[in-house]
Amino acid sequence: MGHRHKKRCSLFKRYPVALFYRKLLEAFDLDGFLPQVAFLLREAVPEIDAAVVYLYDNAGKRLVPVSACGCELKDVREVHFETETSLVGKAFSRGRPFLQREQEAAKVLAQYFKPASCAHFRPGQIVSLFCVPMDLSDGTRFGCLLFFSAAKNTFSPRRAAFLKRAAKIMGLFIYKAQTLKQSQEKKYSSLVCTLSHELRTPLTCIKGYATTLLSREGQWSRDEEQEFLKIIDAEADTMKELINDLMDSSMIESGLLSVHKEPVLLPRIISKAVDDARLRTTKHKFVVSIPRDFPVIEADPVRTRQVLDNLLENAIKYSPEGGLIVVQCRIDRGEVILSVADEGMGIAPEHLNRLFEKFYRVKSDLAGTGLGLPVACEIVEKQGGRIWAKSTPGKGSTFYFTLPLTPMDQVPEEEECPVEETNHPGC
Amino acid sequence: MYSKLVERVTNMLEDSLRYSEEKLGEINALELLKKNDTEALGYFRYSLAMQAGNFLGENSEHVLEVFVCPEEADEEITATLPLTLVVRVEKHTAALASIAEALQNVLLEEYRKLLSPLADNLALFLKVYFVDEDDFLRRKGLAAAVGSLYAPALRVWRRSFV
Repeated sequence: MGHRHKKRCSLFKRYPVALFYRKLLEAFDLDGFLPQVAFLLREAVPEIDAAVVYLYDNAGKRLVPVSACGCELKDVREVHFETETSLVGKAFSRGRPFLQREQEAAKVLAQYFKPASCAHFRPGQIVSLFCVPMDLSDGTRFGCLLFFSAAKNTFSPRRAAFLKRAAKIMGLFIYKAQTLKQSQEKKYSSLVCTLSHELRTPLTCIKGYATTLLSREGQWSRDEEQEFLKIIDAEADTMKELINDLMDSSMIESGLLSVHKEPVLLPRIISKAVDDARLRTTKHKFVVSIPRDFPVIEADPVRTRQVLDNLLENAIKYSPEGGLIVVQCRIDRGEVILSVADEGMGIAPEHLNRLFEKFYRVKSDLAGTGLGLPVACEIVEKQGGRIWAKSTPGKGSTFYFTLPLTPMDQVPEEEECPVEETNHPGC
Repeated sequence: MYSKLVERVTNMLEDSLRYSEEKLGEINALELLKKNDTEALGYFRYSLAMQAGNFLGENSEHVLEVFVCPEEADEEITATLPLTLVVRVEKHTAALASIAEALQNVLLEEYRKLLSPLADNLALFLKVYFVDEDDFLRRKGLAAAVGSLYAPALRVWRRSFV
């Protein structure tokens, strides 16, 4: 064990880029990782006395220090990127590394640090500065890495090569992280917009009908009152579903979404879900196929029903012209496979892989938050199952999910008999 | 409309038995089927194909016509001979693929039970092939069987506007 550890340590000593890269990959996000970068770089090259990471701020045309080691970040000055007199400005504007050796450390460091940080340098102390720009292969530049060392030969060609590679990796990482952050911010603002719209629409309807009913001017017949109340009820349900999706989503985020498995009769859950779906549409025909004598399985009845409801709702929503919806349930290789197929607009291949991402929506003009499928995915996976979709644009989609059969539930393949239940007792 | 497939398939088999009995003259058709009687099997399979075609057609508006492929001239009709349907569709949708798969599975199981022990080891009874308009016009694959001069497929269901 000790020998293996030694071997690995020597490998990372020989290849500090590998160690640096591994730590980058372990990083969770840019905000959490940036403060550590300077420490990591100094760890890789211990002769470095101080390291500073600058990121380019396009708005202010300046380089802002975001991470420092060997000095206080608050004591590091910002650098204007066009300042050719500073090493940082030069490296950034020209896009290549620069090395500088100075006799008067305190004097040169004053360009980068506030006076308090430079006080401990002795007069005449030699310092080496090395600055590497962080960029992508297409020339996009993100910032600079600046290193200081009082030791001789710290920035030997080999170390300089490592620092250049580290800067390349950093550039790539920052680019990826920034792109991801921008996309998340875009999604967030789109979500806020969608949510406001989705909540306001039923709320306006509820308010409108409630005000109408309370109005003393109108004399409404009993039938009209009933109709208004039904609309209020339906719109309140829509709002409830939306809020439930949001709550589930936040529960997933915090890792609190739990499933409570108990013995359930799946055919009963499917039949009820289809019965309810039928009430929501007059344009669709439903066909249900469930094996006869379906075994009792261990699952969360409420959450499983939620997944089915979501798939049925999507099948209805994405086939606005109507058509056939087939719900199939079968047992195959030790698991229950449920599928919901429709004849709707289908999903293009580029969207298929992203369907289960939070807030991802294939059609932004249709109602929805982009939370239903991610929540369904989490529920299925929490129960030990899988969920996936197959689709051809213009020819409809089939969504599948599985639930495991516990050993006591399993029936031999030859005894399986695809028939659909009618008279099972309640779950 | 909400169709429970097993009930529907059970009815299809019962109706096909009744149809065979009517054609054969009030004879117990099930007994004859179990004895691999060619005439009884012929009536039974024809009726079953009509009903399967009707089921597919009434559930999806994309189904235009349904044909049953005839047995080869030198092929003897037995209870274990698969029944092949060619379904001409406007477009082959995910739901159609799913309903055909479900129908094949349910029919196989119910048929096995009906003709047990003769059909106990049967692995496939109904085969459903979809041909779209393009296949149909180019007589591609099983679409060629529809207009075949040698052994034309028999139409068992058609949408009224076709």
